[in-house]
Amino acid sequence: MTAPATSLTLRGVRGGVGVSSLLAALGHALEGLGERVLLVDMCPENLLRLHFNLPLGEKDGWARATLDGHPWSASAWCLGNHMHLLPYGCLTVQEQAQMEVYLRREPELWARRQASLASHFDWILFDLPQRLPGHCLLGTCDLSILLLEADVACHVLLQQPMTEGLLLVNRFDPASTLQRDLLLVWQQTLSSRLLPQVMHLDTAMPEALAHKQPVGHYAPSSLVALDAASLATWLLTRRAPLAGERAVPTGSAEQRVTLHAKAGVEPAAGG
Amino acid sequence: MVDPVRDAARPGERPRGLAAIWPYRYLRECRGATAATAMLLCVLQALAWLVLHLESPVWQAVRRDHGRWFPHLANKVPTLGDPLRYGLQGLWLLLTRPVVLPRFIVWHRLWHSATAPLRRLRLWHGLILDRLRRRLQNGRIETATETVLAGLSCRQRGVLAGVLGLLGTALALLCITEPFGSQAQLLFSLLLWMLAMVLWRLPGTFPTLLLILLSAIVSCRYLWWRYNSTLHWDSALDLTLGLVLLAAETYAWLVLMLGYVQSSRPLRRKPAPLPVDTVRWPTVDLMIPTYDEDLAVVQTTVFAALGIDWPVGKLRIHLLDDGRRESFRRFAAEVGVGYITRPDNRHAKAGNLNHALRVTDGELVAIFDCDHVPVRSFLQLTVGWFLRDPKLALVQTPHHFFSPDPFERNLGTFGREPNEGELFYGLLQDGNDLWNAAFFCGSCAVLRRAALEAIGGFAVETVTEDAHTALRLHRHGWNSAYLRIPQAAGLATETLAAHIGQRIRWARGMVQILRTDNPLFGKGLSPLQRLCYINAMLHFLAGLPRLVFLTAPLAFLLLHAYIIYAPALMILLYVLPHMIHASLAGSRLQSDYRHILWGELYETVLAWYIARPTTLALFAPKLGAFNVTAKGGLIPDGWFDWRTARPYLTLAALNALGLGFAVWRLLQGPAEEIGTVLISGLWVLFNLLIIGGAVAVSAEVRQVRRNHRVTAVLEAVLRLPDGRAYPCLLSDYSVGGAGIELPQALTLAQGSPATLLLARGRREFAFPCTLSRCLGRQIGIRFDGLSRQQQIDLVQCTFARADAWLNRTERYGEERLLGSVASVLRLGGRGYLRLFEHAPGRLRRLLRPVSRLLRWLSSFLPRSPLPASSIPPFLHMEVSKA
Repeated sequence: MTAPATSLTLRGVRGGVGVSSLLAALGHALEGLGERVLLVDMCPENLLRLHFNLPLGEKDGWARATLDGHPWSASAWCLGNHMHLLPYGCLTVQEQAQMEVYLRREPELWARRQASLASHFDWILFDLPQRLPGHCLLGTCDLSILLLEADVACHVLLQQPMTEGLLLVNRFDPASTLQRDLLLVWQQTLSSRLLPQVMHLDTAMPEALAHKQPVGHYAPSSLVALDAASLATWLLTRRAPLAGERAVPTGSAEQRVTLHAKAGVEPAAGG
Repeated sequence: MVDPVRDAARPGERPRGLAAIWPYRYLRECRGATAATAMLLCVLQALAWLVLHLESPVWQAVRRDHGRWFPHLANKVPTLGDPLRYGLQGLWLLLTRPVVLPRFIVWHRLWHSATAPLRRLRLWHGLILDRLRRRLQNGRIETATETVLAGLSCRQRGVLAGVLGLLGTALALLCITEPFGSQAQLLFSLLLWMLAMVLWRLPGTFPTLLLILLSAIVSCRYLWWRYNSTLHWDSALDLTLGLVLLAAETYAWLVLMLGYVQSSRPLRRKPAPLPVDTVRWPTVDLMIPTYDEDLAVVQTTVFAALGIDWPVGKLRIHLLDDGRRESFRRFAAEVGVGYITRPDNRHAKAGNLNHALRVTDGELVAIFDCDHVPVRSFLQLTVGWFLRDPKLALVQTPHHFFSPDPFERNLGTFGREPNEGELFYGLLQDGNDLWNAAFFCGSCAVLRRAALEAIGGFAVETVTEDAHTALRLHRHGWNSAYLRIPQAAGLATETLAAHIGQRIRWARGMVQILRTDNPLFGKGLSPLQRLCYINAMLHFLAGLPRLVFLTAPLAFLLLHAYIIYAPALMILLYVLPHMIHASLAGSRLQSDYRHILWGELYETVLAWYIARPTTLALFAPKLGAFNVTAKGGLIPDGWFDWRTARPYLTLAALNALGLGFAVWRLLQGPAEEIGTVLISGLWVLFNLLIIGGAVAVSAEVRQVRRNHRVTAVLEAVLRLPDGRAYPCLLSDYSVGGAGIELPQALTLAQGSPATLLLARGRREFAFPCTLSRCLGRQIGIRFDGLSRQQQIDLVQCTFARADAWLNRTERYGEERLLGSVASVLRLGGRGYLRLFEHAPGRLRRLLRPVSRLLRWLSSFLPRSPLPASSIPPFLHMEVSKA
């Protein structure tokens, strides 16, 4: 029996630090290393799918399906051989609030879903929203990474007690003295939490979204794609000890998940 | 044998299909052959296709690696002589390296039957060697010996050692002194040679020691024979000249023997770890003495020193400016390092350092010449030993040079042959270290202040304050250590004249020490320390003996003096074993640090120049001033240093004259002298080629870049103005610019701005630059407008990386003795060609036909094939800050 999936959450310390783009890049990089990856968009903005060339008008997603009473797993997309994507779905503002209430009432929902998915994947990556605590109730997660930029706002937010998990710096620009200094401070004060890797500022990242592709596919020789690949490799080294620590799940998954490849939608390769 | 039209010159354009058999158009249009040549080559090519299996994989392999096996023909315009050149080269390859070539040639039927007995012998030889090697590697012999020895009591062991020692000495004495006739000597030499050849192929220290022992016995035997049987006592002239040569040979013998003692067991010391608690790390004053060097040169050193990993406040950097320049003072204030001057310049560098010692108070003193750029790990690697050994006064590290010295530049051997200093820093200092005799070399070292104060500061009596200071330290019971890890790199001397000037200073200083503070006498030194010091000093007396060797055969050829009064055959039978064994042992000991005959070349270049000052210093040690070695300049045009080359040209002319006399004596002289004439002629020829090497060094090659580019393989990132960033490799760098290699070709405009990102440990820095050259994936960039801080960061990201110079120690392949000899002699030949190129116009016109003929003839000579290309390692790790 293969080791169960490692779950990873990525959340911004503040809004707009580039979580979805990085998650897409990371998923693509992990797939490139031969890992089976599921990307789950927990954000009502529903943007993650755009990195994989899904049509803007596509309304389906796990939240939509949950509200409509459809099987949630049927809204997943197969992207290539090893990568799957579970979009959030298009919800109105009221529906989003409704969903939040529902998720708070059912805190075990995603823990159950995770357990049922665990044997099908090596990695389950969650794109977490900023201000919806219900959407962040995922049960236990193996790795939670907080994304931040090397600026003063993030530095201030880091001092607050709510921040936990590993820290990853995004859009790092060595040409900026402020950013270099902040990183140095963090390297000295937060060395146990700070990832050895930083993601560099690179125009290829926003351009990749414009091309509706993950950056590793859009610009494989760009710096940020290399960063994502390094991060993925680093995660692999973390996966081995994690898999050892965890108890082997008892019994086989009772709910078999079917993940459909929808016709007419090309994975990212369509570019 | 090898098809002549095969060409890997431009792999992309290689003719295919029918054109592969009849490549007439290709030869005419792509390679520029004349119609007749192309036709001939095509006919031969077609014939080759008819007769040989050119389509077979083995032939295909040769065709693919054509440029490697036939380096001189790969990019040449085809001419009528090429088939012959291919033939000769093919034959040469078959003879010299049958194993490396694809098997089919070796198994070629003719060849096969002709060489069968030889191969059987080789196989047999190989089998025996293999068995021996395995036994040695298993350590069975050693364990067997150890078990026998372990069974003995201490006393029994002593008796056994004594008896064996006596027996061995007696046997050695017998081998050295027993006079033999020619046949017995021949047999004796052959036996020892075979033994040496077997030993040469066996790994380990023990065979090395045996090789040294064999060489010592043979050389002693030679010298014994020379003293006993080769002096012509009846003629005053013969005797005088003979004694001069004998004295020179005795010197060479002495240096050889001392060298064996010194280098037989290098210590290979490892760095000692520092305590975890940085409070216990000592305070260090890092001193950078300067006198008249450019600020640009000194800047780089200071920038790198600022980045040395050491607790804040425990490292103080001082610029010791004997030039008292305002710009230096301002610079020191700007970057925050100490600036020390003194009212006078007494005792040059030593005085400068002594003055600085008085105004500083760190426990340790690190010294860097202003052009030696330290790496960040310098102190962490060197200081550990000071904490471990309280009597340690000195830790010296090698002087590494990132620019070519005059030999390397003018001979084109940079990075391919070990340079002059490598023998000393790679082997001799490590050998000295075993006997606690490693000495101070003036830079890239750490000294203990208490020790310096105990001996009254740096020695000021001689012009080589460094060696003299070390000698004093040793005399006062302090210890020294040598760490063979390049922890700094600098600029080599620019011109041959400057190089010679520097060596004259060293030679004069060492001889001054020999006279005023002779290490053989006086208190405080162990016998082996005395020996190591005396060897270092003797080394600089090589001038006169070398001149004697370069002119000795003329004594017979010109003056008809019998300087070696013995039959030619006997001379050969004694000299050849001596030379062969010395080469084998030498190559075994130092092939990584100096190739055969290079020592002769270095000595020849210096001989004339150091002969006079060393002799003078022997008699009047007080004379002579300190001269600063000029570095960091340009050589705008290639030129020939006629002034410096004058002694070489004189020697060459004399030897050429000797060659003429040899021919004359061969034709006109008595028949019984023919052997002697031939030997003298060969000697003269050898001298001519070695002198030719010196001449070649005198032809200064153009050097246009002010900042030397250091080749490297470093990860970097190029960020373009549009915000895109590309990971790339930094392939070379200097403080002014760099070369990078992108993973893919980009269309970039020359002159457009960009940013280079470089990492130092976990930190990253950005450097604004301009694209100065864009060739596909290869980009040249120029740094401009770097702020002071950026300049510091740039030096620390490049020159001062802990691993910056580490990959440079093991880069030369295994030495092939005969190949090395041939390459040095070829350099000699090239020297005369260069001389001709630089000769005045009229002389050149006069000599042109001769040179053309020689050039044409030499184009037929076989070349050694190129090494198989290797891929540079992509990733380089850097030791991160502790």
